[in-house]
Amino acid sequence: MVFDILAVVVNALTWAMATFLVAAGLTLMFGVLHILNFAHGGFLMLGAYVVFAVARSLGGELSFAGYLAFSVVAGLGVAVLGLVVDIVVFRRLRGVDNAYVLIATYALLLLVEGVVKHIWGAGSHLVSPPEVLIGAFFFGPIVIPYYSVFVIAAGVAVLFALEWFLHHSSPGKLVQAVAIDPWMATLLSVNVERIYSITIVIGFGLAGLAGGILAANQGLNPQLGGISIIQAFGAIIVGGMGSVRGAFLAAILLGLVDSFGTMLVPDFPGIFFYVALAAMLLVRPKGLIGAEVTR
Amino acid sequence: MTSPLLEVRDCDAFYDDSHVLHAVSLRVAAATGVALLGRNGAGKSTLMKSILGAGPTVRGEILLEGRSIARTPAYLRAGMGLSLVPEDRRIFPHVTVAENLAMARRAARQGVEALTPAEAAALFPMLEGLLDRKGYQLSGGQQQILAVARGLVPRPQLLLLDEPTEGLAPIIVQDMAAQMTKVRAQSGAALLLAEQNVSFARHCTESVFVIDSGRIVFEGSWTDFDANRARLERFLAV
Repeated sequence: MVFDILAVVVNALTWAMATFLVAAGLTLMFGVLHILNFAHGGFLMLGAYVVFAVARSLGGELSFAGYLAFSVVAGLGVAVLGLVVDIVVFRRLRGVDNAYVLIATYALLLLVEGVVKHIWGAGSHLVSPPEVLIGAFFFGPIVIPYYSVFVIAAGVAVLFALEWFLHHSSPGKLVQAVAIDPWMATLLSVNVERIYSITIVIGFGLAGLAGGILAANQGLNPQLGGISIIQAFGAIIVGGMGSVRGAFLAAILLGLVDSFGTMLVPDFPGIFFYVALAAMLLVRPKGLIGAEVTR
Repeated sequence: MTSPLLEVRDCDAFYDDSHVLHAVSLRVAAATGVALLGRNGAGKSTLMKSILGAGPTVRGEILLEGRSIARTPAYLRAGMGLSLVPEDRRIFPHVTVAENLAMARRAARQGVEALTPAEAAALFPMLEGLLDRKGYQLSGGQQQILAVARGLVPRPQLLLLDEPTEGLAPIIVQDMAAQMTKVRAQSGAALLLAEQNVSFARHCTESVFVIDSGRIVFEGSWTDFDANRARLERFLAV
């Protein structure tokens, strides 16, 4: 029984960290710009396809270092796209009604899906994980896939990197200041537009990186962009819109509830995520943690 | 004639459709103290924000040392020696007093060494021992003093204080008046002070503008002000 529970926990944490990887950039951008980027999943998918394309052109197999390196490259590439999207789309969305933001970023998602279909086709593709991540090891009697360890480590690493950036680096402190009070930041000679651009570039970079890291976790198809952010939306709503730590904790909470729910009621896999989401919204509609990136 | 430090020339200011300032002109000479008196809603804050380019839409000319800054973005004006302390204080609650002060160092002009947090805090006895406190842990009075200290950190040429005495206990207002005189003597900064508290304003400045319904209705020395007191009273009474 204890081991069953441990196995469920490992499952939950893997799901949670995959979800957090998707949610991190999304919640950061919301916290600073108050833009909920519907296209986030699309750019994540783009990162995954970049890794797929690189792997295919290199003969299908990547080493662990190569896989990591190309995930970072995918992140950097998508970050550059973020700058373009900022200039072409997001700058026009400052201060407009949420409905326009929703429509604009949804249109952007459709555009990305179209581009992916055009380049890689509408069918499914598979990315093989690097050899060291295939298989599993025994921890006592429970089986832990290496890929789970990788995803959990990546999620924790992204949390620590973001937390360090926001709380200990000087550009990060400016990002926080702008998130809280852009007007006062301006009076302290902060170029708020530039901070917005930096935040968008980081948010998109995180999407691309997450796409790379999670590429071998599932089959790739052009619908992935829309699907992948549903759970992330859940995590940032429960965590408190705009809070990075909140999204991290919420992802773990939702992961545990969903995994244990599925263990107890195996006939309805996945439904407990929504039950937990609804329950959280009833109990704490503002989320676990305030409303800023900072707390 | 040399140009004044700051000159606002024939400025109109708007918030969306509402026309707040009407042909306002105002000058502040280097190292002088100028009071801007007026009732709530007279346009004091709007004028302060217009000078920084931070909020209202402004039509007209604004000159800093004779050069036009009317089309310069607000964050650049803030780095040109104009330091606005807004009436609602706007202390960052999530970081310490020291970090609040340190954040303003970036607004120092080129070639000017900003005050360190310790130096800025030392100007005001009320901030002693508070450097490690978080912004949200401060009382209203402490926040106001911190906001003024933060405004001084970049060693501005012109400090714009928007109703710093609002909501403060009389004893703190007295202290602040004494501190302001000392700080101005030390730093050589000019002061543009928007106030309703006439005695505080008199203590801190040498000349007066009175604004009403977005128009300048009086301009002169405190002696002129006293000579016209009867006429001006209706622009000041609450």
